[in-house]
Amino acid sequence: MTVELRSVRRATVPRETAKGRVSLGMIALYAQVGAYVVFLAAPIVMVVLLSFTAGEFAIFPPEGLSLRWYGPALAMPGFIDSLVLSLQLAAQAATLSLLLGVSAALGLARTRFRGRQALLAGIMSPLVVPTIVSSLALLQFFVGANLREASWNLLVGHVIITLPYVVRTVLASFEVFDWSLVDTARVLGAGPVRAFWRVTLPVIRPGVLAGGIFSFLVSFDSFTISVFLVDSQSVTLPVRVFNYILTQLDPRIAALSALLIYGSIAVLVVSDRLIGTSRLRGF
Amino acid sequence: MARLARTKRIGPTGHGWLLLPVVLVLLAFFALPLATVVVYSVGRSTFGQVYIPDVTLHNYVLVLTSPTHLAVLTRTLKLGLIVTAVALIVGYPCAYLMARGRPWLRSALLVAVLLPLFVSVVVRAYGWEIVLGLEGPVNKLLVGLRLTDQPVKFLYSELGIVIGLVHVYSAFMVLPLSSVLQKIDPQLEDAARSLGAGPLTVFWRIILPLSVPGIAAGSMLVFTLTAAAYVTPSLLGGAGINVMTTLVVQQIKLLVDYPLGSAIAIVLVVITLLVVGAYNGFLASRAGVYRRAQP
Repeated sequence: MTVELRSVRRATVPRETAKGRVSLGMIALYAQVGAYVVFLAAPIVMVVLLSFTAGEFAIFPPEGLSLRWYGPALAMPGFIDSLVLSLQLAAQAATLSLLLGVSAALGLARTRFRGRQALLAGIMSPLVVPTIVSSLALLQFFVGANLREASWNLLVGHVIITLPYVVRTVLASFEVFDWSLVDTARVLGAGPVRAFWRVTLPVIRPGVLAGGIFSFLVSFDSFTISVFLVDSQSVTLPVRVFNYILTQLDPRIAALSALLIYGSIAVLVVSDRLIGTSRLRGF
Repeated sequence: MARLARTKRIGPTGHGWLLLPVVLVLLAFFALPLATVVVYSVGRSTFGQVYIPDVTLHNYVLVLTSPTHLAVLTRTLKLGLIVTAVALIVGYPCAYLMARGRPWLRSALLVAVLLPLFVSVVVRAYGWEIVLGLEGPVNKLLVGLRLTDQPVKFLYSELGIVIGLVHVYSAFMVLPLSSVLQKIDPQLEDAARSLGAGPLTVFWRIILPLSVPGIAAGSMLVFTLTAAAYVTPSLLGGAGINVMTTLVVQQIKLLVDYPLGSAIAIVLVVITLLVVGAYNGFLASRAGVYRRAQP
């Protein structure tokens, strides 16, 4: 899935219009894809639209335009706490996943042994096992082991679900990695750590970066695993917003959701600049 | 493959210890908890006692035979198939344009398809509640155009679940599909056209058969993701409509029946593994074709 768009030969849709004849099939194709794009954008655009309402209710059509709900949205109880917690958690989970994942990918890429494929499948299995199942399993495990510190439990849960992304993206970078570079560095006197920092890491950097960004995003956005591991002290942002949506109806929710959408779009743009949208296809 | 052989010869082994931290973490916090679920699933529970150690298949029999649980299982599979089919049908033209369109169109479509994935599941569900609600713009439009007399109840139904899941998971159909479509030589289409085939014939006889690997990969992903989805079904499906994930949570959190909830969870995992296994079997069966398609 991580095929670079640019490397593929430029093939374009045959343009009947160039000959002055518009194909009915082409019109249908573009119309269908247009409708699909509208469908994809609809709920997101609608939330943003209603967040600007001047009225008292988040209903369509919005009554007038204003920014009056954004201030109260930020002031909702617990919002800032949850935002800080989620950002911290995402940063911690991404860091830990990178440490564990890069070392695992290095081990997998450099070592051949019996059962390597099985081990790789095992490391990837948190992606295959439905998150709801691993979340409940983890919850039962923590309760059974009497581990009740929610912030630690959340971190463990998030690392488990973000780890496969790091291993996958970093392992993909190793596939085109020329190991003789490291061997050369070693022959020329670099120690293993220095060889890793100066040779291996710069080459696999895009994979590491992509893995780190995925982990951060997946953790920040993760709802299913968090909803079972939070306690009243540590509520992550998605869980907080979920509780708001269930209990509040005013446009503050629309403004809050819109803020999250701006964040998502910013992340999408930044990751495009940083690692290329095409690489995000592996997401 | 040649590279692997070379690495083996040149590269020193002994990097295996790098795998140790991951293996330990996954054993402790993934394998062990899952094993606990398996142990729970063969246990018993009575009123007032969450779990009684036992080795019985009673819970599995219940999941697979009792009408209420069987209905949930069937609904999960049915929704999986519907969402997969709808994602394929609505996503295919988009994947085609992504593979063959001008560069700006490709990027624009890629962003459009990825956008729902980047927006929080909670916010997406909230957006659908606004768009499809009884007072929402879609219903206002339908009533305004006199297409219906009464507002359509999109939400809190299986339809709501399908819409919500197609919205986010069709990306997993479009992306592998467009990768595969990109690898199909456009000259094949030109050749067929110049030999007199119409656009539909070209599609049915050339593009569709060659895109089967993409369809298979996308279907596997969409089906397993749909079966595993929890938030969207619980928010857009409403109270009466259980799927396996919501039933697991109900059993464990509300009814505190750990053994039965665990058994449902294990059945869900087995279904997922069967689908992934079937996909791997498919890949193996056409390994030759698949490898040649790689650049």
